[in-house]
Amino acid sequence: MKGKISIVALIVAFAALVLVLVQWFTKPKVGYVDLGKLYSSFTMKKEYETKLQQVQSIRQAQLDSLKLDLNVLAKNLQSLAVENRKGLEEQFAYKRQQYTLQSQAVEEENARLTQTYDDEIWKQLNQYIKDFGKNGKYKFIFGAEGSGSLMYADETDNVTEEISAYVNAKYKGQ
Amino acid sequence: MKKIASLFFASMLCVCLFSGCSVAPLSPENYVAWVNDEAHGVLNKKTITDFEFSLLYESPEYLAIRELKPENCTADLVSKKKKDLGNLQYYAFQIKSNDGQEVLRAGIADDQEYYARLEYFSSMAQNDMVLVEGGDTLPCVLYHYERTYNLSPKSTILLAFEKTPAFTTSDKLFIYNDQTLGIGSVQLTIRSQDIQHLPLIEYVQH
Repeated sequence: MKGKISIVALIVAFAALVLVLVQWFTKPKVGYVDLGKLYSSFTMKKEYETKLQQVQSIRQAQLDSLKLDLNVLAKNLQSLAVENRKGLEEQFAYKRQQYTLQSQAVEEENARLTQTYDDEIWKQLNQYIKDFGKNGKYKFIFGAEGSGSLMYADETDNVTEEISAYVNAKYKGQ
Repeated sequence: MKKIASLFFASMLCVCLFSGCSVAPLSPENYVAWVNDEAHGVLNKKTITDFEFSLLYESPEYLAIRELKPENCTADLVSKKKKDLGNLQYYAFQIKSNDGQEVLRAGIADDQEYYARLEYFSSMAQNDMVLVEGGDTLPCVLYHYERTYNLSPKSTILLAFEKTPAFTTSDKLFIYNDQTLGIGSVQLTIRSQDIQHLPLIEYVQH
């Protein structure tokens, strides 16, 4: 009788072990990525940041030289007697308008360029994350950015470092 | 006796290791097929959203075979052709539209955009393509865009860059700063070791 019980117990234990193993191996592979961290460490983003800074500083230098002209003109105006200011006042008004328009255009152009660069960066980043998921046979990769899409995840499922290395290599076409 | 045995095994190991690194000489036809196999590293591809980009390193031998046709290739003809190619490194950059349309038409809103793309690839894109090699950024010195007239989703651009002293030792990073497809900077690398390990060619005897 005792022998029979122990055989049944052994079979049950073996079945339980098989069940656990099947569940373990068939569970969907998931991971999450810290999007902020991934974005900051993306080489393309760093390259574009430098490019953007260069473009913005060139534009700012052009604006600054206009502003300098305007300041010189204002000083000249102040040093003149009121009756002699007329011609210079018109010139000052024209230059001030030109400066205002140019600074507005620069602001708009900077915002447009930032948006274009951002779109291009995300286009490539999303593609490489997709490639990473496909190659690694992931069922899901969640994006954790603190906006409510993923409020908690176990650190063992964090694949940010792995994805970061992958997307940077992919970007360089390696 | 033990010493002789260990020497024998060491030499066998060396033979195995070195023979594993090189490929037996190939016929011109098989050489072209070998080069066009992505697994061998001189062809590199990547997909970004709706487009697939690929870069093929075209060795002087490859270009000569393609021009002469494999069945006509002799060592003399190929060597003569190689001399004509000068001190340049050649690449074929290909853009393929994944929706099956011609690249110039893929995802455009109107004809104006089509003509803008055509003008860009015909004459302006050359300035947006560089090769980074051993710390040097090389401008594209020869550029030829092959139009497909809506017959193929692939557009091919043939490129050439100067050959610098770093050619044999440095990896090649090709950068295309796209201005028209909304993709941004497209980068593809060809490893120098893959260029060094191109197989030898067994030419036909006439």
